[in-house]
Amino acid sequence: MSTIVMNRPLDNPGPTHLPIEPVQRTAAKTVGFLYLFAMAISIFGESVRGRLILPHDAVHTASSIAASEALFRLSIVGDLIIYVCDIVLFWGLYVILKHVSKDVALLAVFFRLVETAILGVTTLTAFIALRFLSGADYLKVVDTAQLQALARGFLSVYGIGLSVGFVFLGLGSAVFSYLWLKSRYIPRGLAWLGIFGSLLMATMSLVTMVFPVVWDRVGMAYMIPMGLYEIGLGFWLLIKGIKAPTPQRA
Amino acid sequence: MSPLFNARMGGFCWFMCFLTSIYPLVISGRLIVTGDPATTAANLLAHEALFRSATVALLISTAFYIAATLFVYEVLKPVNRSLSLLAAFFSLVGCGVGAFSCIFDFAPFILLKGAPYLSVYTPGQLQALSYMFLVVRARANDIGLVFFGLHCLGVGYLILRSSFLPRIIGALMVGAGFGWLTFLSPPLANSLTPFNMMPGAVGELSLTLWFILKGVNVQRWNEQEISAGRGEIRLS
Repeated sequence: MSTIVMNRPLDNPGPTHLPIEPVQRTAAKTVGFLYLFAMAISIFGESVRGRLILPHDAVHTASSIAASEALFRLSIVGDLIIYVCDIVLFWGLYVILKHVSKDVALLAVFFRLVETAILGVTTLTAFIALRFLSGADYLKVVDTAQLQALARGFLSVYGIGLSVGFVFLGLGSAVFSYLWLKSRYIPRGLAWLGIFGSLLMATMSLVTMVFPVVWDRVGMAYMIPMGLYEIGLGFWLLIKGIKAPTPQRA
Repeated sequence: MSPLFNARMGGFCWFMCFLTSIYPLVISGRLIVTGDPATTAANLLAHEALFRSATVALLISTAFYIAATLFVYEVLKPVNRSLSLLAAFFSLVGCGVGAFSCIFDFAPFILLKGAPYLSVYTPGQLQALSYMFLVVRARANDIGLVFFGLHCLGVGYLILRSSFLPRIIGALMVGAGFGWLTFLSPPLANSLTPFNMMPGAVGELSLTLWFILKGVNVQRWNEQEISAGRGEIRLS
């Protein structure tokens, strides 16, 4: 127990010239793997839902989901798996980056935990849509077309839930990227891409909420820098790992 | 980061949270007509960007509250580290619930903007459904307020036990906590509004102003931090 007390930082020591601890290297590999794993699952989920959910068409959306219900459910469960992995990812990032600043790393974790809570509950809207399409006896009192319309409406809410979560994802990721920049564990360009991509994601998510027209024009294009950052960081941490910063620059 | 910096930032972020949450309160108060889905729907469609911006303001307010939670946790850590973290966790759950409730604010626009697939419903039915989502959103927000109440109670208690902040602010924050806890029962909260929000406003404003203008007594903060450290060694 006393070692824990001894390690308790009374004030933040100058972090960047400290040697990298083994646990940080393990965390870096884990984080790198999880970034890529989550990215692959999220691309799968987006493409499944992009194929099954048709814009402004409740009837065909209902029939295509009915035809591939297991696939649709898998895409939602995939999202839940991402959120579980995310919590491990935040832990890993915290373990690596708390050496730069414990307080700031905790701030990033706070932002991202709220993001995960929002996104996790958002998956509920997809399950509500499936309920409406389930053909259960007690729903027979409502017209099929009306049930399909309600289901399609709830699938639109799913998209909004993602946007709301992305605001806090962007903020948390920007704070983590700032710490990567200060740490010099990874190339500065990658950290700057992270700051830019993350802030762009948070800002544009808010902008599209006020002006949905922007979303119709830009679509998911504003998430590209963030996507590149996460893939780049994932590969970098998995292959190169983190390196101790060279001490010549104070 | 120094305790003074944390206190100032905590006060600033909490104050900004307060400011940015007034705007949505005013907008939704003007556009949502209680018990009248038709007028509410007409208002929302006529002022869509305004209503949407109010929701965004609420999300920004949540972001400020998350930051405030971190800084206030840091300031109150020397009093009781685990209790300060517990208070922060309550706040995070409240932030998650509150931000999630914003999602329902967008549901009326899905329902009311004349998508062809929704023509299986009459306009009156769509207006009623939209209105119902706004009610759900308000209830979800109330659930968030209960967790904020628990956060305020924790913060208030820690300030009362601290040597570096005035006890009166701790007492006011405990009052704020009980005020928000009235939302455990929506009928009770409704009948008490706006009086049940007064303790929250008074407590949180006095805390933010003190944190911004005075910060903490740094010397006493350091003393309590050191004695907290000794306490841990004695335990082990």
